[in-house]
Amino acid sequence: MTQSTKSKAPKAARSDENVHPIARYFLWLDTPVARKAPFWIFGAGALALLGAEYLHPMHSVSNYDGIFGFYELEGFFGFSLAVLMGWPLRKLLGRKEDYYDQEGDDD
Amino acid sequence: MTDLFYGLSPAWPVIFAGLLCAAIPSHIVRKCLMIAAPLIAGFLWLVTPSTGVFGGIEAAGFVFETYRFDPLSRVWGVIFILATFINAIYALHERSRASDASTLLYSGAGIGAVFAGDLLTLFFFWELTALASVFLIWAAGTPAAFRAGLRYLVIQVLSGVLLLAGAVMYAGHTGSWAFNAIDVYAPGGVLIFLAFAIKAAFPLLHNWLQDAYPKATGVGAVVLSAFTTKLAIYALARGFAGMDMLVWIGAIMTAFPVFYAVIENDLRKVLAYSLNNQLGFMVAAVGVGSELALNGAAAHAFVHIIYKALLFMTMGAVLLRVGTTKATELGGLYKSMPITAVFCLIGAGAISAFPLLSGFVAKALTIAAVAEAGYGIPFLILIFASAGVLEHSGIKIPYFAFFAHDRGHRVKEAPANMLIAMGIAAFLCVYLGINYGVLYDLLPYPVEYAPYTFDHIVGQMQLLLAALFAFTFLVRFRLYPAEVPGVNLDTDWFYRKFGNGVVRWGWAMLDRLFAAMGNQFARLRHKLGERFVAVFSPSGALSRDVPSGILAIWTGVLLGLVLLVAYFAG
Repeated sequence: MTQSTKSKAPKAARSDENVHPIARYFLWLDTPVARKAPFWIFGAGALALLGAEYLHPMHSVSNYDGIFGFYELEGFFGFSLAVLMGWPLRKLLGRKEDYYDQEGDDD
Repeated sequence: MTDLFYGLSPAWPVIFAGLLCAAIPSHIVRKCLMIAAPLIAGFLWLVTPSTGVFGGIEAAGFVFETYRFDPLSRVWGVIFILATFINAIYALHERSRASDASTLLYSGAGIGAVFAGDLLTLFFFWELTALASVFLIWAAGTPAAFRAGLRYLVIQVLSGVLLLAGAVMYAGHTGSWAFNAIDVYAPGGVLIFLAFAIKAAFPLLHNWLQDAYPKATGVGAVVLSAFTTKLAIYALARGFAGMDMLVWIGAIMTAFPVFYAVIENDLRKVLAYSLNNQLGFMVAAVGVGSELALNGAAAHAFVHIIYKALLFMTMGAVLLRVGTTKATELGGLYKSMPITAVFCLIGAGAISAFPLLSGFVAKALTIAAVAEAGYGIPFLILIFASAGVLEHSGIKIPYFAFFAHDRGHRVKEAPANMLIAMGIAAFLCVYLGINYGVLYDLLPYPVEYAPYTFDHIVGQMQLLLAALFAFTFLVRFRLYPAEVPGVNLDTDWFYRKFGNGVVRWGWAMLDRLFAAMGNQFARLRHKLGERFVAVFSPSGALSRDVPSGILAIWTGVLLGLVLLVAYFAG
């Protein structure tokens, strides 16, 4: 197991002696497969839970969560809204790092 | 034996230890005091036999109630004591007398405030939290931290002044100084509410938090995250439970920091925005005011202090080892700090409310209470904000610090004391998530809520997995905004730029006004001088026709007349 994970790890990281001994077991996290896998895992998990709701309808606690897939819709679109709003907000509110700096701050 | 300590507020040993720390130069003795003080405080909390008001101190004809032990103060008191203990372990490596003393005084003041039975005692401890905590910001030693500390101090002291003014007016109206439910419409009620609102970092009053906390030391930010804001939530729960407006304020509080956290580059500032978001849940619960909701607020405050401290601790460790918490300068740290990375993931999971972790069993109470009370739109906002929490605290913090692009930092793992403190906090996140009965038993009212039902688990996992899928989707299609160095404008712009600009402009204008007036006076003086010379000098107009000797005689005559008038008038 250790051998196989090590063999998949990027060469630079494997040869890096400063990597923590515990972290050496997890260098496979840097492989392209490991980086792409969450997309499919989370997508499949979300679909499976939608299936679970279909098979076992949930009780609603408000006027809204009775809608089929309510939590998935809020999760996906709410998250996407928060992230995508980052583009215009950064243009509107973003300033250079030294925006608030005053004389003597570099001392 | 226990009778000896009966009725002594747990705040006193912590404050006393803080005063000693300020005077003791020995690092080891100070650290022993920091560990011992919360243990003694915990002992005092444990031996308090029943609810009641203890520790009355009579002064100037007034009895200060320093230890009101009831179901509401009990839960806040114990988590404050626990936080003081964990923070003390986390701070063991730090060699700063000011920081040690400040930590204990601030923690003790926080404990004292939640046990205060009257408004004057509350005010005393309220102000002490402000005065003691500012040293945790100044301890960073940078000019920016110094200025942020000053701004923090001004705002916190203002909160105290409002509390005192409100308390005086309120007591004058009701005839009682007792700190119980407060009528916001009574004289002084709104001032007390504003005082609490500032410390709870309500929207538009919030930015002292994001301004000051990220500029504190690594240890300082951990300590600061525990007390001030949660004290304000306690005060709101005590004074304004069931105030409808708070539900809406809380809902807004949960939502707006999400957008700021997405574009923020400094991960400690992200955590500060996240703190705002979490406070929103508690404020909304206080606004609902039902037993379930107040249990939710208390449970949320309890677990939040632990997992937020854990997240701040991990970032403090990163700051200590790498020297920065800017997302643009971090990444791949799991290779150097794998244990810290695991603790960070546990904290991130807890704040995101994954099942089996503490956030899951606490946040559920609040959301259920809001839904049960029929607040439809706030319910939708809270669910949205739950997805937002996952974004900024669940993903952004661990991802950009420990994973993402490897920046090549090869540093040491965090010091042992930091790991122990993080380990205790991480353990509590898991323990309270599984053995939630321990937490529920501490809450102010009996709990009949069962968090581990099919509906709740599936609903929450649907929300989290869909949000996680959204994250991978946005990253895969390059829709996730990359981290860039910079700062973002927030409400602090009004006093840091606009206010500062107005004051500077005002000074400049006054300078110019005085300069212009000076010029005018100089010109006038010059002209008058010329006139006097023209009239009175030996070659002046008066000397031209009349000899100056006659003028001297006339001057003598006039002076003689003045003397005569003065003599007869007297």
